[in-house]
Amino acid sequence: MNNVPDFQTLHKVILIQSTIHLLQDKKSLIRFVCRGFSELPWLSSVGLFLQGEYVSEGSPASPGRDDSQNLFDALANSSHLKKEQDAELTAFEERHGLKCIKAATSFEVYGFLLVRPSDEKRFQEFRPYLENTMNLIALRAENEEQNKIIRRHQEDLESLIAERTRALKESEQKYRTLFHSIRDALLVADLQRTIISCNQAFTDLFGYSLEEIQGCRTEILYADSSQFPRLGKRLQDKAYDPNLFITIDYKKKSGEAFPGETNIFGFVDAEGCEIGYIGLIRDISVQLKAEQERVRYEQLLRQAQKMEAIGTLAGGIAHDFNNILASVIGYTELAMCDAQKKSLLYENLNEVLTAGNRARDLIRQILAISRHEDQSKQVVPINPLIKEALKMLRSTVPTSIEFKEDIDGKTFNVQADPTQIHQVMVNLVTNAMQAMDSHEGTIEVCLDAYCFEDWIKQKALHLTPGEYVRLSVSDTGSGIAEDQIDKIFEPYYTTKEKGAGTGLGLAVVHGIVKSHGGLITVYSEEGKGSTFHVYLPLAQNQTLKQTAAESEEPLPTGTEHILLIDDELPIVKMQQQSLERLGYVVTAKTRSREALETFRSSPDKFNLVITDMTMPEMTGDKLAAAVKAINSEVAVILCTGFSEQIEAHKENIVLDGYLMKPVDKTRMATTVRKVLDSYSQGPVPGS
Amino acid sequence: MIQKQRKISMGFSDEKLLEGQHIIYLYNDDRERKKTMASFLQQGLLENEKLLYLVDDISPEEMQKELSLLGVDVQRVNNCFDITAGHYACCPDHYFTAEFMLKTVGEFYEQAIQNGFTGARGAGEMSWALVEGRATVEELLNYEAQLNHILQRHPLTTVCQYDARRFDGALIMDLLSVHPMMIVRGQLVKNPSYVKPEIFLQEYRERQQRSSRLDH
Repeated sequence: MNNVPDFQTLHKVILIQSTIHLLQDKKSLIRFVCRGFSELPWLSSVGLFLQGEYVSEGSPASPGRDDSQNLFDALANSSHLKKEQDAELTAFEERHGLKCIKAATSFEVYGFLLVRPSDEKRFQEFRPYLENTMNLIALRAENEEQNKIIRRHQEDLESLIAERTRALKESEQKYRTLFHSIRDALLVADLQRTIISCNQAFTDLFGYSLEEIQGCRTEILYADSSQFPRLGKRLQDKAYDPNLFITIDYKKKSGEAFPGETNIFGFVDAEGCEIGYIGLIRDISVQLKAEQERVRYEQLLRQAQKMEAIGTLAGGIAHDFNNILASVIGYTELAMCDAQKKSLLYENLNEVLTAGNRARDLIRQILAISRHEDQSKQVVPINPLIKEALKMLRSTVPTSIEFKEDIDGKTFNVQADPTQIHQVMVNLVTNAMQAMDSHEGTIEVCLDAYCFEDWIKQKALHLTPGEYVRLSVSDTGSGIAEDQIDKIFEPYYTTKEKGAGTGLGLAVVHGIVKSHGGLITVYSEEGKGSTFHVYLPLAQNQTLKQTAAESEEPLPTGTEHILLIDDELPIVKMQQQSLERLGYVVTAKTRSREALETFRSSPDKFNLVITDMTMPEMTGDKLAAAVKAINSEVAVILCTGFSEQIEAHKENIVLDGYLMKPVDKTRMATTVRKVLDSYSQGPVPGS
Repeated sequence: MIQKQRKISMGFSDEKLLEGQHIIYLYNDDRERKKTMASFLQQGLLENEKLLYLVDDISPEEMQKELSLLGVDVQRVNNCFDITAGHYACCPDHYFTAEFMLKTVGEFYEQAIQNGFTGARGAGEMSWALVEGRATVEELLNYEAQLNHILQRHPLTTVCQYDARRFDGALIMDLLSVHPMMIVRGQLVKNPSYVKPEIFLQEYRERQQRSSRLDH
């Protein structure tokens, strides 16, 4: 018995063992081991089965692949019960007359070595080395399996990472797109308020590039540097409501300041800890300006509404007062006709008439405020009217006050009552002059075209759309206190000493301007002066009329039969007397229905019907219509204290003329004669 | 011309061995292999030996750069370092013959001596032999076995590099049988599987005959 190991063989086995790790391909490994073992002198044949692969060398041949596969399946199915596996192996060894060495780890059987020893003793001597080699192969196989699992996991992980990375990129791209598509400036800062990022709207608004602003503190953005610590304290104290917007004055890179509506909210990390702030800033300078404009126009509207109310009140009073005045003036005139000229009675009556006329002028001014006065509007160029007024005013204004005018440019035509425009100028210049207490300074008058910014403003102020002429009267006087500005157009409002002014000047201007479809505004700075802007709509495609001075002529007379109706007995009696004195035959009535019946009974008897407008039972316009229906050949004159009533009914009734109360005898005589004369050539609508 | 054999250092191993060693290098790690070969070649330069490197995986120029990065002074002496494509050197007629190659090895060594080099060493990547139709297994094994005799007369220290990932396991076992020395994990060891060339070739032919009979 030779116990000395065969070192050459031993080294060869060790060489095989040490080379196994280099052979990665399973089949190559099997062939390597099989070839190596087959060269061992005491083995006549070798077969190696490993994970489905099988190779054999030498003779007699080892069992075939199928038998080997069956053995492998049996070993694998016997699970990890060594006893069962050993039984399977022993059975196989006996069946095929060979030796079988498992390639197995504690967990798994991977294959086996099948050998036919030609020298049993040598085989048994080296069996531990062969078993060791098979263990190494099993470990390698197990390692390979584990590596496969690790590789699969790694691939899954890499695939997951790739998927997540792609999703993250997509998410980031979405975020970036969203971030930059927000139209408000968006700023991201850390807790120290150092700027981390901003969107495109921010760079557009503030003028800084991202590179310029990154790393800067938000302090750089505030117009008022004290805003930074103030806001910082609020943020620190959490004294801000993320749902609320605050307005902060910001400063652009150019230095331009602007108000920004700001919403600040904190942003948190994955653990919910606040790590910074996000600020949303919207430039609201345009909105603020619009809001200021809106407030200004609302004030103007309120003022206009107040003036409207005052005008309505004044108009109502004036109407009643007109009726009284009509009697006073009318009867005085009648009385004067009967009195001896230059007698004390005549002179006294003349004083009454003068006072009555002054009262009538006053009423007209009040009606002008309320737009209830009769107006003789016509298309006229406003430039010469203003120039003429200034020429007259120049002589009344102290020479220490300088006059500047800019009215010779483009000619502006307006639909206006020249007398009233004259009045507007007188009142505004007088007001300007009185504003300069020291009687030193400058009054500047100019005319220019003006177009309101948009239709909405025009609508809000009840202005007719279109182009306007702007008359501006500026002074360098004391100006108007801010709290007084709203009141200056109110009647009887004055800052002057008692007796120095009536308080009606600007109210009259306001009324006239409004009656012309215009607007008056004032801009004033206390201590610096005021500017009144009067906006009048430009006349479109209307024929210019020349103002004709009324001439003094003897009162026209006539003999026609006139039906006179007024519910005020004193007035009807006075007018009857006046008309009869002019030679006319007058049938006077105080009730409209009775008057209509009278006319109906003898329609051909009358040449003219003069009717009051406001009457019980039947108003003047209805009576006129009824008369015309009975006999269209009869002329009708409507008499009223409200020109608006006539304007309102002008299109519905065929009027031949109208008279504004209080009617003086001259106007009565001329209007009556004019209407009757026109009827001798056929009826003429309107007057 | 037979000279007294020198003892040389391999560069990657401490011990000194007689020149003309026939070494097989089985590898599956290119980084380790290039590092080992760089040490081997650099040592050759230091010992004033003529060097031959037959490349296959990459071009000669790329290998030159890589060796340079690994510390081989490839520009040190003109004409001391030949880097050539393996298939070009071994198969000039597109087909490998042991006879031609053995003759080339002998000539290379003799020329190196004639040119004043103290010796020569060569390293060859052998994967070119895997290209179908280029070389038979028998011819390759014949060459490797006969080379042992040639190197006794022309002691060109030779490292044959076989990629264990690409060559068949059975062939590798046969190749081990014809190389007296082997490099295992960068270490030079005596090959216990080495069989004298004549014996190996005889056994190989007998095995082939047996196999042929079985096939029939």
